[in-house]
Amino acid sequence: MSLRDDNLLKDKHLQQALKHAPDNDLAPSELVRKKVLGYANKVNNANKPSQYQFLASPFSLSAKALSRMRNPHWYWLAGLLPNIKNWQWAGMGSVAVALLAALMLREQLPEEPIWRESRVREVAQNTAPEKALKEERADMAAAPATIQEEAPAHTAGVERKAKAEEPAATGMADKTVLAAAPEVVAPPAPVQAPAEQTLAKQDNGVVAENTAKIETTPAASAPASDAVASAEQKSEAEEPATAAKKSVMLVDAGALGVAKANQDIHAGVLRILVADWAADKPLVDETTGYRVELAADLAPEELAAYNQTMRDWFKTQH
Amino acid sequence: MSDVFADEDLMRKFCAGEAHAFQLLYARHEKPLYRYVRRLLGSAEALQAEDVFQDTWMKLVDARDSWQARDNASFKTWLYTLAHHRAIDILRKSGREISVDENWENDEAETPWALWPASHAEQPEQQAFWRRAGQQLLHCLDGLPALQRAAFLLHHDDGLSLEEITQVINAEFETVKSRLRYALTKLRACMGAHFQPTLEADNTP
Repeated sequence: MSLRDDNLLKDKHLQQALKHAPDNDLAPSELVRKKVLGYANKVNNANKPSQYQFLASPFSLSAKALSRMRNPHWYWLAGLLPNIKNWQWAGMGSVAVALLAALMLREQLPEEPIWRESRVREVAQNTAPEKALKEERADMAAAPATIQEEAPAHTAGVERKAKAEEPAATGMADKTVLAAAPEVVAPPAPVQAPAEQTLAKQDNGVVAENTAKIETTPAASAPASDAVASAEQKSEAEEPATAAKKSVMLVDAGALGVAKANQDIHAGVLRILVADWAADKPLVDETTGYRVELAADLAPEELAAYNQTMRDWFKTQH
Repeated sequence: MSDVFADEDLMRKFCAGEAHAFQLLYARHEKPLYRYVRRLLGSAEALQAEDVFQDTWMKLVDARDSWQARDNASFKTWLYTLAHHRAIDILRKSGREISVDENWENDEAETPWALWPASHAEQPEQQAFWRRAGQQLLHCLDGLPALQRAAFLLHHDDGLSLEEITQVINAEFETVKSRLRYALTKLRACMGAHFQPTLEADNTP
């Protein structure tokens, strides 16, 4: 019916006349064409849903973009989200996600026991020389302990000296031990006067006290100081712990020599000790007149301190 | 490509983000739509033709989502609907629209079509005749009410069916038929009054 009406109501002559009308080939101006096409491109690009919009952030997904999805299962999400179509929101969402990821990575940094173990290892390396030093001191203290049976005052002095050095030895690291070494091997000071006073009083306690003083100002004898000085020079090239240990050992040896000499003087045994015996060695010391005896088991520093104390005693008597 | 894809396919591609599809649509409907707008507005409002034409396309771009929602919607029908309503608004504002159809006598016996030359004639005199006929037809169209003019143009120039015309001008099917019939009667009378004497004179040996 419709098609028949179309044919009946269509006049071919009028239609032909219409085709020959002068305005049949008219077209809009080029400006209108550019405006229309430009507008279409602009709107199309502005509302074009980006395929990377999902990757940027779930919050950057606009409700309009969701509504354009062909999958009807996501239509409900379009109603929940705000109509965000500004790309800056997508950027802010990306920054938020990146910040969250950074925080999560921060939580996975190396755990505490790892760096704590390395720290323990480092401390152990630093404290190893101190332990060796303590052990050495314990050995050194063992020797005066044997003497203590004969002369308690001298042994007490040596122990007091060891106790006085204990905090410094245990509390100081390698560098502090090095710094303490010059103090221990200070230039020799005259010890004759205190020694004279001590021997003049003939008091065991005073002798022990002076012994301690001598030990803290280690100038018991010149050879001892020379040995200490040479040890100091060597210590600069050696390891700090070794140098400090040697310095302490030298000072202890000199103190032991002084203490042993004082003990002999107190016992009335006046003698000069030598480390090795030579054929031309006199049996009697030329300066003091004391008899010369062989003592090969003593350290050179201890031997020198012992002889110097004897000679000092001789001078006080003559 | 423009011949392969239908208008609806190109419009879907444009809605999917392909700007080139819109260019093809525009090129396909540029001249027919502009011609329809210009003839519907008439010689008195011809200067408004470009504005109406431009507004029609921009409105189409803005309302592409609403076109998607309509199933089985003809792009051409939708395009001409937008242009028709925009042009009618212009005519209403100018006061030139004739809203009431005149009671026109349907007298097809007086049509002089039998004496007119064939439209495909190649003789210069015959081509000149048709050019004058076309010009006269435009003059006759100016005398028609807007809705009759629209029905005639959509049916004879743009090839829309009566069903499609009902959608464009938003009228009942019978109303469209009567308006088209009135338009034909008026135009035939108008055209015969001018050309029949001349043709009779030309056909006289």
